[in-house]
Amino acid sequence: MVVRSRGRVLAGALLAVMTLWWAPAEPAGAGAAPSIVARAALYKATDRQAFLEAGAQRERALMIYTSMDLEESQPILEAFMKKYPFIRGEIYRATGEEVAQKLITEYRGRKHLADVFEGTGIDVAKMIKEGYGQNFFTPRAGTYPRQGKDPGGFWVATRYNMLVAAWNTNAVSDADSPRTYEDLVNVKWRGKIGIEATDQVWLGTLLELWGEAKAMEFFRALSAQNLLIRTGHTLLAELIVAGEVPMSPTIYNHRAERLKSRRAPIDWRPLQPVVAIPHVIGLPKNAPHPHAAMLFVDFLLSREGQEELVKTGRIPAHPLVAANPPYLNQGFSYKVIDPNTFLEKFPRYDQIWQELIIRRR
Amino acid sequence: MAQAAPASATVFRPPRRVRLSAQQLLPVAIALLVAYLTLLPFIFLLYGSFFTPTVGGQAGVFTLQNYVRAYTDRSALPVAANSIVFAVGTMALAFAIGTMLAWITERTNTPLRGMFFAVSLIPLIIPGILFTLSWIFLLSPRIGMINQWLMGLLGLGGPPFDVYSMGGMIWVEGLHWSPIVYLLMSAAFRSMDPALEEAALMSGSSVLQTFARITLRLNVPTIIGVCLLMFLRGLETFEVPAIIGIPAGIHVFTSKIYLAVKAYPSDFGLAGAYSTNLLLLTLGGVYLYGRVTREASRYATVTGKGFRPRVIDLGPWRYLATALIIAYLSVMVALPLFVLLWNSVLPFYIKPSLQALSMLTLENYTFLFGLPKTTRALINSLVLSLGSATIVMFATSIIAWITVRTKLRGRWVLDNLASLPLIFPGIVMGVALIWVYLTLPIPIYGTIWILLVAYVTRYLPYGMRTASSSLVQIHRELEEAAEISGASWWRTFVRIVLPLLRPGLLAGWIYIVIVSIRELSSSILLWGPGAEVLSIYIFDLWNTGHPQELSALGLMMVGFLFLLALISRRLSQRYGLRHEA
Amino acid sequence: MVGVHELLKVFHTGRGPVVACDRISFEVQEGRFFTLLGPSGCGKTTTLRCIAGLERPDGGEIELAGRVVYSGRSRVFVPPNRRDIGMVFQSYAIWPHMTVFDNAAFPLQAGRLRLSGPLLRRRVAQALATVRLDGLEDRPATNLSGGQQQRLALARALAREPKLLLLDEPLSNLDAKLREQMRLELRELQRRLRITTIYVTHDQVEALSMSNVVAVMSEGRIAQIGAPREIYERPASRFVADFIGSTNFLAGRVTGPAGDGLVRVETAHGPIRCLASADALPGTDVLVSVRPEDVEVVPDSGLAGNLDAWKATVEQAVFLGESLDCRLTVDGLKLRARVHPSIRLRRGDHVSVSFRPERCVAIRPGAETT
Repeated sequence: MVVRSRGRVLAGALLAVMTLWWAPAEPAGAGAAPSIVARAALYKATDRQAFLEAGAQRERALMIYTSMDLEESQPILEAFMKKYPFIRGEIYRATGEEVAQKLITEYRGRKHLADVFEGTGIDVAKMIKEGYGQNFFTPRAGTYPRQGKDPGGFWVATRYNMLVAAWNTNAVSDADSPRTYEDLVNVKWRGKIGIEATDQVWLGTLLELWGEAKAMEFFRALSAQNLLIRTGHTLLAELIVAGEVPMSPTIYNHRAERLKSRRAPIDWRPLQPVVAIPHVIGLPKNAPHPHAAMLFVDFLLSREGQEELVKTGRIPAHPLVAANPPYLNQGFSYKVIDPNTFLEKFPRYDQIWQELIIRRR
Repeated sequence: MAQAAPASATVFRPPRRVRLSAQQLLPVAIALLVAYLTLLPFIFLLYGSFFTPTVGGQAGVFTLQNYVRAYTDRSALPVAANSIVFAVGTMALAFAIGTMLAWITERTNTPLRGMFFAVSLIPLIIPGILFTLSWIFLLSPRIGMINQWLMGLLGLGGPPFDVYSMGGMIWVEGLHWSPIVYLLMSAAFRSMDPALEEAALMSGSSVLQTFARITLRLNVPTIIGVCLLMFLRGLETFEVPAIIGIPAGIHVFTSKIYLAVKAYPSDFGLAGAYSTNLLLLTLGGVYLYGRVTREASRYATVTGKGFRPRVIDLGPWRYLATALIIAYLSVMVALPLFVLLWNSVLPFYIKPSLQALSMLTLENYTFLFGLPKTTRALINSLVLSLGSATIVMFATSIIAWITVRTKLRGRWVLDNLASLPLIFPGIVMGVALIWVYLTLPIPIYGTIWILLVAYVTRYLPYGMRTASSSLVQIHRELEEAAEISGASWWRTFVRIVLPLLRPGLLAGWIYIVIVSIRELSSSILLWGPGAEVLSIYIFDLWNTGHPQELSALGLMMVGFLFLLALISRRLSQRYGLRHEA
Repeated sequence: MVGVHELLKVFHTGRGPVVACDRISFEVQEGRFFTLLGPSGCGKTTTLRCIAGLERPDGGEIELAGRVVYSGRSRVFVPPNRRDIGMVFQSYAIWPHMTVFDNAAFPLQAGRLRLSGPLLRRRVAQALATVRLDGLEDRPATNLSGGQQQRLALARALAREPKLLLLDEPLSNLDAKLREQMRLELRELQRRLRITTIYVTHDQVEALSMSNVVAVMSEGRIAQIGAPREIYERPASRFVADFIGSTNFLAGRVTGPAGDGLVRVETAHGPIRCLASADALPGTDVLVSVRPEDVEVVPDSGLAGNLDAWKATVEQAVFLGESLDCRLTVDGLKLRARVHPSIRLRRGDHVSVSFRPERCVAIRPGAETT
């Protein structure tokens, strides 16, 4: 392969950089948009539904940024579009971290594409912390418990992920399976415990519940177990099924339950208290289709939307909608983390997490 | 109507000047386009790595912090070391395998060698991401099929191989590039005068001695060139470092850049600093490569064509050589495709067994077709690859014409600009383009068009290479004859130059179609909703834990690419050979 | 018809500038066959390409049929596609992706003509018939033999019935037999069509046999222009005499007139009478050029009939069939002579040589260009 590059290329380019006067682009028409978004988000009059529908009919489109799996988010979107056929919905799906990062990067570059952001409370809180969130009013939020909504009105919980212990039934017998957190530090698990690489919440929550001393002792002992670190909760569950990872305490129980129902060799048990991660919905402050966005927020938080969620096997946040099967969020104690406070403590938890769990292998 | 007269007077110029200006404007327009495509990302990248991010319209401030962090980070040294070990390992493995096979098929009487040449192109069709994933399915410590077989067969207590290691990374990457080495080295061996080897054999040296002391020595410039190329590929590659390296905790520059961009808060400055480091490395490599290949063309011992190669008799060893060929093909093609096929028809990982056969299902395929994203990704991939290949080949044939045929001052600038993307690893191009299109008021960020820009820019050098080397082979008088016949420049270009370039352009076009369908490392940072492409889709399916669906999609993609390769082969047979008659 | 004035063309190479055309001037009359003859690198092809418009000159002026197509002073440059010229290239430049018909039709479809339909077919058929390629229209051009390709190139050049035909060493890629045949054909065609032709070659036989006017070029300049016979018989410089045919040079000094327009030249080996050029005044140093066929060799029989005859010894005699090629020495001076094959000579024979005065030319040694 012939290459023609010479030293001159670099020299020329460097010269161009040095002589280039750098002027950042002026904000492009960012002035007017927020007021429309705010008006749609906070509209409380009795004709709210008609007002939103009229607006959405003009907008005709909806861009959902979510961390929810396509096989789960797509049916929900389809149910929504069936209800509002004039809206064409699109999904951008990636991990919660990636979605948050993409949205923030876009807002820094004044590109406003997202209408709603549905992801872990922590990822949505990042958007809000950066000042790119819009508080909103939805009548549906009334039924939700206090821990399921932001006091400032910036987000409402849509679903929960429960971190439980799951194991490959071929590799681990029921008798051998862990029943308490303390079981995890038993030497028999050495080299057999899988940990999801981004579960700082798990560590943080237990740290708060148990207190510094006890928790640190536990995680130090855990880190001595030659942990198998994998990225992605779904992947980790699949790896348990495949036998690559015999057991993991950071598995979403709805995922394990689904695989189990497909005859996969997996079973799970809550280690109490279970850490529950809320997934929430938030509104970016320059959403290009705010009326359609609010209709979607209403829909996802309604009984109807929550039941759609249950159909995909997820654990609903709506207090009156039962999970399927119900034992996904019943019969054990769990601690719902608070995204707002957690985000602030994140750097400290992350440091411990990186030192104990990720780096020492 | 009164103004009509002066207006028409200004329009009505002597026709000669109008025609000339079209011919003169084109180089300028093309130069501006190429500069826009290649120089702009470069400038933004440097700017971004030296300045704090622009927030809310506030201009960034000059800082060296990004570089300080990139160099003082605890992982800085390991990252540089890993990158180089990985690239050198990849180079060594790919070179050893590719050269050995080239020698066996070009220089010995090994049975089945003819067949091998025909199928040697198939491994090139399998995208890097699928190749990497299939080797995880094969060599992962617990789910790895090979590990499971060996443990059962030999009664081992633990898995003999772990793909999640530096060795595993080198194995997968080196294998993946070996077909390229094979192609380059067999071309070199073929153009070598066999009398040079025969003379050595007549002087009493053994077959192996001859290979080492004559064959390899004579090809030293080619060998250095191929090795540098592999080294660069090893530096730039993204799939293996991301999919195997990150979970294994073995970070190289490309995966580090990816992590810096994807983290919260996203650290573009750090990514920029890492990118500039990587650019410096690749720039050095590309520079050396250019030097070596220029030297190689002066190396006159290995020249010409029309030798009737006399092959070396390996005796009974030739069956071993056949076995090697078959082993290679199974490792490159059969095993990866089998494991994909196996996974694609099962609900979850099960090792091959009779019991597993009862669970066969087409659920994964129906799931894929049920999602609107699947067709969209397919269409996007097609549009992007066909579009970028067409644009690149058309633009580069004009650029090549300007640089090869005209005596315009500063044409070397154009040539160099068009080759500049060679030093951009895909992931770096991604970082740079995010900056460009988040800053400039050109609304293509997050759309399929930014991917098109990325592909066109990245593959410009490849287009340049094919276009200018085929243009050099076309006798200048063929164009002059058209000019003398009264044809305008444009007509000459369209009726004479383009048709004559067709075989070369077609080859370049096919190559770009195939590589852009596989492209992952730029796309991963640039794609947005509605602009999904197949490779991104596969990567996402892996990250969300859908290995079965991924295998199904991957198999379909390989099938599709295979079909594409077949069609293009037919096309080139039909249109490419006519003028060689 | 064609006027070239002070044509200057400089190539800038890695080793500094090379002057390919050093202020060349000549004119070609309507209907003439004009040849630029010279060794490779003398600038003849560059001159032709400047006339075609394929090279942009650095100075001077070129005029075609009364139209200035290039002028360095008034910055006029007409591109080749607007000059109405036909050209045959050394490589023929037959487009390999087209049929015979397409090749010949291209000039009629391009440019201002843009013919199509029956008219196009008629004109193409006519052009192909001119070069006897009719009936091969649908053949891929690459299926033609060398001679056929050459004729197709000619048909293509003639298709538009241009005012001027340029031929760039068109016969150099043919084998000897075919070359001879094409030479005659080309000459015959040019006479029939009466098309003004400029022909570039390094082959003196082609130049002498085909042209009305030959311009001999050397190092970017024109050494001599004239009719073929004039060039051959009365070379104006040592270079021309040496390049066209072979010749013997005898150094001497003019001593005085010898009647009948001849002068007497005294050489180291004896006196010679030869044709006088205008500046061959008594007392000037000259070189006398004598063609080998103009050297008369008589076996030495003691007869002293010719006063001018010199005594010589045969060094070598090679029988060539139609002639006998001799190398002689006269007191250390080497001479070549071509004599009738009936004369039998052997190495060591003593002979007397004489020169036909009307065939001997006195050249000023410094006179390299006109």
